[in-house]
Amino acid sequence: MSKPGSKENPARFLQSIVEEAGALGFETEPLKENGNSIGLVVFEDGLAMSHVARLIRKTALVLTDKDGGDISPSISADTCQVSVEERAQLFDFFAKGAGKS
Amino acid sequence: MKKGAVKKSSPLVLSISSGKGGVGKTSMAVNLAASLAAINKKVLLIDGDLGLANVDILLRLNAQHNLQETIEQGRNPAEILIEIVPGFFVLPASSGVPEMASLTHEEQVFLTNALEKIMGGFDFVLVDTAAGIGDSVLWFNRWANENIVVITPDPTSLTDAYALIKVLSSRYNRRRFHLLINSVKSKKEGRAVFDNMSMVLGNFLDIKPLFLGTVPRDRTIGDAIRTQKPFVLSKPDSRASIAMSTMAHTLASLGAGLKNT
Repeated sequence: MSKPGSKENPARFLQSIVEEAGALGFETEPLKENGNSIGLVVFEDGLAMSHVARLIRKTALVLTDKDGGDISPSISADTCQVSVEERAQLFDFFAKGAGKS
Repeated sequence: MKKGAVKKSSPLVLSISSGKGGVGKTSMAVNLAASLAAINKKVLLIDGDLGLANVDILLRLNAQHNLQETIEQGRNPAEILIEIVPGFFVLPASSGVPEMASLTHEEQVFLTNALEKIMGGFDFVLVDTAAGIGDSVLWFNRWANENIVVITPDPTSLTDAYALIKVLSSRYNRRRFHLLINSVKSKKEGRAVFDNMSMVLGNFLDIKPLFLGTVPRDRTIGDAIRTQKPFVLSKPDSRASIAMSTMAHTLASLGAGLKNT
């Protein structure tokens, strides 16, 4: 996808994306190098910043992989997946027979 | 509406979700709304299961219009409202319309704006969401001021409710969850279910849920579903109805507390 003038004036192009994203309920975070914006991360409004940060870390690993670098096994981990340990504690209640009248 | 911001003129918006289907979520929503109306609160119940609506069935409504028309044709929700008993209004949704189950962002904003225009006169707005952790469920939970999660004493219900809370807390920073434990053999069992869930939420998510109440396993509830009438209206003296009334008072106190802060 290319917008008219995006090559000639990257700052204006990125600003137009920021404005368009804001109007559609998205937030943006600039990718900066030497103080200059060279790209944008666009994400859904209302997401917890810690969650966005986790996704960006995963994306960084994908980019590293594409670049031929090593990739961490944790990339496949879904942070919202209910873990084995969580299930064990949830079901511990039944094993103990607690609350039976 | 921003999370947690309750203006004095605004209703308290409560989502009612469960993760797992079939735990009595819609029955709880309908009867909680009727119980709030019984203590002179003006209540709007929105059927948030936009693609597979059930509220109208539990109330034996023959709705001529529903929220699908608001979203697709711009119909004013005020024209869709149905008054069940004095103070208890319902906004029905459509059934068997898959595309309604996943609205675009623009449709969500449009629906939110349309709903907020008619909410001003209500004390409480309850949203009976779909089961699962789909887009509409997460969106309605984020829109609400407070989140109620219905659970039953079985492993699938506990796991799915926990998963819902985990997604809402991890992705959207939601921290306040009111647990309603349905279909318990005794208050003791209900309290034990709550305590166990509370322990796991605290251990892994650093969340301390709030105890809304327990509803006993009561034949009245099944009978009310089959006769399509809220049990708090048909059997107001039943154990289940008394439990709903207690929860309605708890929520009334919560609403008053939030408006005074």
